[in-house]
Amino acid sequence: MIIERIDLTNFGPFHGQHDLTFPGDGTGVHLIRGDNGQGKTSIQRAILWGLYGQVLDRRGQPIRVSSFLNRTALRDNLYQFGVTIHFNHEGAKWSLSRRTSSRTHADRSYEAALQLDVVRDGHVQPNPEQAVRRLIPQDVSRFFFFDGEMLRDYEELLDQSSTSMTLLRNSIEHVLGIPYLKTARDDAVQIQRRLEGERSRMIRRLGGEDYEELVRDFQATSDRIAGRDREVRTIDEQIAHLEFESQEKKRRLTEISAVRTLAEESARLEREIAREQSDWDTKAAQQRALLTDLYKTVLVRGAADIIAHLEAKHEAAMNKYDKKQQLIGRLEDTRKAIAAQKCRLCGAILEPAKLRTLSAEANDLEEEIKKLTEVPEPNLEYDHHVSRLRALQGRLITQDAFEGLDSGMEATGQRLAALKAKLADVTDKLSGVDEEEPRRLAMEIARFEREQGRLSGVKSELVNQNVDDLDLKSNLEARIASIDRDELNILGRKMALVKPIIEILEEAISVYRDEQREKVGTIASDIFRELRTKSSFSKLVINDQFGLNIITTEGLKLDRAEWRSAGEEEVVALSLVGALNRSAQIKAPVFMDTPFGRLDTKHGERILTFLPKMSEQVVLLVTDREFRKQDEKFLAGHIKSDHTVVHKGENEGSSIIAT
Amino acid sequence: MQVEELFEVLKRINHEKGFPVDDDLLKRIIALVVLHPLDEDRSKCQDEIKELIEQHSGLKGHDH
Repeated sequence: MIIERIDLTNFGPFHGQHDLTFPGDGTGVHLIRGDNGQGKTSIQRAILWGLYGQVLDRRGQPIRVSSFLNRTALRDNLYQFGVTIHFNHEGAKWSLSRRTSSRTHADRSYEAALQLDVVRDGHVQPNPEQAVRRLIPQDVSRFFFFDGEMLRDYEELLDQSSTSMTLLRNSIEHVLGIPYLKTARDDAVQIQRRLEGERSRMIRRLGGEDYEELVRDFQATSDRIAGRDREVRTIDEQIAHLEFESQEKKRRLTEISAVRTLAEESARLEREIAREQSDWDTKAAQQRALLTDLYKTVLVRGAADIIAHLEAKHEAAMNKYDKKQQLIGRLEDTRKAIAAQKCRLCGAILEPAKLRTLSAEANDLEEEIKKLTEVPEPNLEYDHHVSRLRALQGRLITQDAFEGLDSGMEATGQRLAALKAKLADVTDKLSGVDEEEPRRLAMEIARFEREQGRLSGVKSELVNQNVDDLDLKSNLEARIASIDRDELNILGRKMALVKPIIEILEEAISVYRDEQREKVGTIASDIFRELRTKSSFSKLVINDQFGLNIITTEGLKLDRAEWRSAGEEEVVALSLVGALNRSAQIKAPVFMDTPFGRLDTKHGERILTFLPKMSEQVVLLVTDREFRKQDEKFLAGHIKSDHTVVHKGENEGSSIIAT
Repeated sequence: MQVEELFEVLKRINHEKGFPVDDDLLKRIIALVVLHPLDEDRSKCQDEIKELIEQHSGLKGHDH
């Protein structure tokens, strides 16, 4: 199915007549832009309403039909709206037109007045609703018309209640064509019963009262077997349902038990985090100290020269000081000798000539002392400065010390981050645990198992009864077959042919389901590898319920709790939807409403690159924020039309214009 | 395409079981069901399948 044009009349924000054409043969990627609230979603809803006369909200509840009427039309008391979809399907031109016109603005009136016409290659289809269901059944439309939120909900569905899960699994089986085999098997079973009825009637006709009892016995036996077969089939479904429920509860219980164990782990992690944090704090303080003293390291490199310079200066000053002290001593002695006019050593009287020499010598000494007095006195703080500089020389910051500290901090930081991530994960899991849940789950599991046991017992009894009846039936059949009549022989051959047909169809259901599941899993994995952003994610595996798990390159199987992120969820869901579209027995366009709202740029770009391969016709309903001008390159060559939905005001409503 | 894919499985199982049914009959049955998949189609579809079975029972398939 490829949509070529959509005509809207008073639908949602579109007042009057509006149309949206997908040019060419409609294939390729089509953009419909528009800010929130302009009417993009209404286009998608118009298609779904056109197809099914009903649009479901995210909770699966029907949206009120009266809400589709345009407000201006409502104000003008014009209670009519409709949609026409022109499309191509398997080489034929189709048009589907659904409309309603009522005298009052009430859901019931609109629904009562609903009209649908389906035309194929100019021929009006006698039963239009059936024609639509043949084209694209409503329960599989979720794989073709969805929004970003629904895509995310899709993965949620795979996790949640078994009722939703069963519905989803049925939809998946439907889109893959598995019900065709089930229907064929049921048809064959019905035909078998009809043939048996015919044979009974024929025997009565041929044999009169002689065969009456034989036929009655055969028919009764056959009815009993068929009745028990139906019961066994129902019981099988109930057992499968209980088994699934039980598995789900067990999975949950294991999850809780695992989380409980992790609660202890949580306490241990908290202690470890505290220890690592303290280590990190110590190292950080050391680093701060190093950084504080860094200027000293720079300055102290010149300390040796300064010390040498100061020492030389100090020594020179001390030499002068010592010399002056000696001279002062000598001057005092000379002056004493002149004053006493006697030799200080022997006491001999000094001659006048000697006294004059001593006076001259004293004058010279005074002169020399005077010269030395002009030299500054030694700086007594010198020792203090030098010792400080020497101390600093011993505390130089080496590169090794700094780098060692830095790498130590980095390692501690990494350990801390890993521990905190683990703790967050554990805390997250713990927060969802209800104290009473394990006990409740255990009771429910026990109840399911009891019920499974009871049903198995009933089934086994029915099967045993059927074994006896099958023997009886075969005995009766042999007796009937011994009736030598050509017509009966022919009927017998027909019945004999139906039996293996039923067996083949029965076997084909499970074989085909398994093969399709494997095929979907392989395609989903291929798509996933194309879309993933983490190279450590290797592939997807698909389970019996079509649920998905990520497998890492190390072979680890991750469940949703372990890869939870909006981006990854959407990628996984899109991989499955993409695989289903490729494997589907039903071909239809893919409409994606605001698909990138929750995605980061990288995921958005990868998904854009993949979209053209998802379906022959892809329609993207996007806001400018999620699809930017530069994103067009990711769809290079595939964009076949570009429209914008603009809301022009309360009266005029919205319009679809070429971008 | 969808008929072919479903038929391939039926054919394979039929062969594994030693050809109890003519392949062509299986193909025509599944083609009829694919063409008439709805509940409303069942009666008509079963009539047509029955007719096919009647035709084939006179030909080949289970006379071994």
